[in-house]
Amino acid sequence: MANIWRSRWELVAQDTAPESLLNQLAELHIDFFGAQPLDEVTLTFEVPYREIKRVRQILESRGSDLRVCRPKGFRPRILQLSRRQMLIVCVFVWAVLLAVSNLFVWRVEVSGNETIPTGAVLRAMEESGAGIGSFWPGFDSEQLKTNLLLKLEDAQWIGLNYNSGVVYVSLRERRKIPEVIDNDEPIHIVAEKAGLITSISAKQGQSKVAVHDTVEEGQLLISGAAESTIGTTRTVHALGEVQARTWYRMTAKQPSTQTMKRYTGRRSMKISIIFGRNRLNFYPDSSISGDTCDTITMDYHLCIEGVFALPLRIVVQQYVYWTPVERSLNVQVQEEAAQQALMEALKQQLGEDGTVTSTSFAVLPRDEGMVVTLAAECLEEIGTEQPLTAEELQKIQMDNTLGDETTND
Amino acid sequence: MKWRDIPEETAHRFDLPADAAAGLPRITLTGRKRLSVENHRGLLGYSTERIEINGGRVRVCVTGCDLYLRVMKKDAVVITGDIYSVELL
Repeated sequence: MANIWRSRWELVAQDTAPESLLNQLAELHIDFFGAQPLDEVTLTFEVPYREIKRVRQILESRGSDLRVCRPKGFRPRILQLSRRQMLIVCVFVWAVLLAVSNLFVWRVEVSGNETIPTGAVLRAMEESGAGIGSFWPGFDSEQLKTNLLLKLEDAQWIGLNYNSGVVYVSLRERRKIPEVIDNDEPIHIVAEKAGLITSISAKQGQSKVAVHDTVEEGQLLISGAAESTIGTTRTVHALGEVQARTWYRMTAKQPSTQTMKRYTGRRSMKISIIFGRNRLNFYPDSSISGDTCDTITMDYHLCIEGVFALPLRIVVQQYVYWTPVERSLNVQVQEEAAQQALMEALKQQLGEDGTVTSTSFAVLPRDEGMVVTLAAECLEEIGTEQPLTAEELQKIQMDNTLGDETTND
Repeated sequence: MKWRDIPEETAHRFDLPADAAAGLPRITLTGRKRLSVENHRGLLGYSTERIEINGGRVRVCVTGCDLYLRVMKKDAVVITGDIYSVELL
């Protein structure tokens, strides 16, 4: 490591007695490094930068040949660079351009958004004038935030941070107002599907079924017409949970062959450079030749995070070509694939609340594959809301009126 | 005892550092890759396989492969490379 900083000359000397030459140099307190014999009379070594004159004199006095190869170390390099004026000018211009380019927006990073698409935020920024290539110091941050909040209705709070050409937009989304249950709306809870009741809990309304009852689809579980102690019927918004055992039977056809990708080995690459808003394609045609291919897109932004960002992006699109081939599957693989597909379909149908308690599969071979049938028993919430019909409401009203008249008589 | 042995013998008897008291070479071998010789009196022979150093009353012969005279000063020399043997002749 020290050798990087130590300024020295690399020399090649020819002397009849190289070791004697080295002894003489050491004797005269000229330190040298990395001495290596090239042949019987030639050796290469390095001496400190300031000692070159003395070394020359010594070798001349000995009648030896000396060849100065090159300077090494930090100081000679700096001296070499200082002579290259164009390079210094270029570095200076580059530094100025870099400093100036850091005042413009070259990238927008959005975080904290869950439902608001990033594209919508970018569009809102663009419409507010703070798009790619805009001069950041010209913006009033508070004004921009207000504009964005007006454009993005679902955003509750927006934070803007600017650092070296990159604008970081932090979002906090507006919370959805929970659905308000209208307690005055007359609602029944009915069975969404047929099943065997395992538990029922009516918070509001009147239970019409009991545990171990078998119910059919659409059957009334908790009634929204509750009878009061004085004999009248009042309408309520029925609330409650009804858990039931349910049974499913699903069938899937599994073909004996499967279409697979076979990579042909052919690859192609398309490179584009995006400078600010302008795209420069280094390929003549944007269409993809061939039938099928996988596309891998790599986007390189020339920047050092937090230091600088340039308005330059390199987009490399790589195409890996393949052809579809039919592959025959063995029976076990066919069965497993069908069973997996059926289980996924069942879970999708059950939703998050339901659980599968038992399953069994039946396999029936066919000419071009097999038919797999799933029989499953599940435990799930089967209650669903259903408004009272106009006839029901009218009947309740009539009953209540007749009841009142009877009481008055 | 010979006259030239007196300084070394004196240093030995009085438990003094012989390199300082008698001007004898101090040889330090670090692993197999680095050898330093202090209080030397110059090189006697030099090649990539064999380096001979004059240590005054002793001749230090270093054999090895790709031997490299890393640095040499008036009173110290450092050799690097694959060192096979160090002989005192």
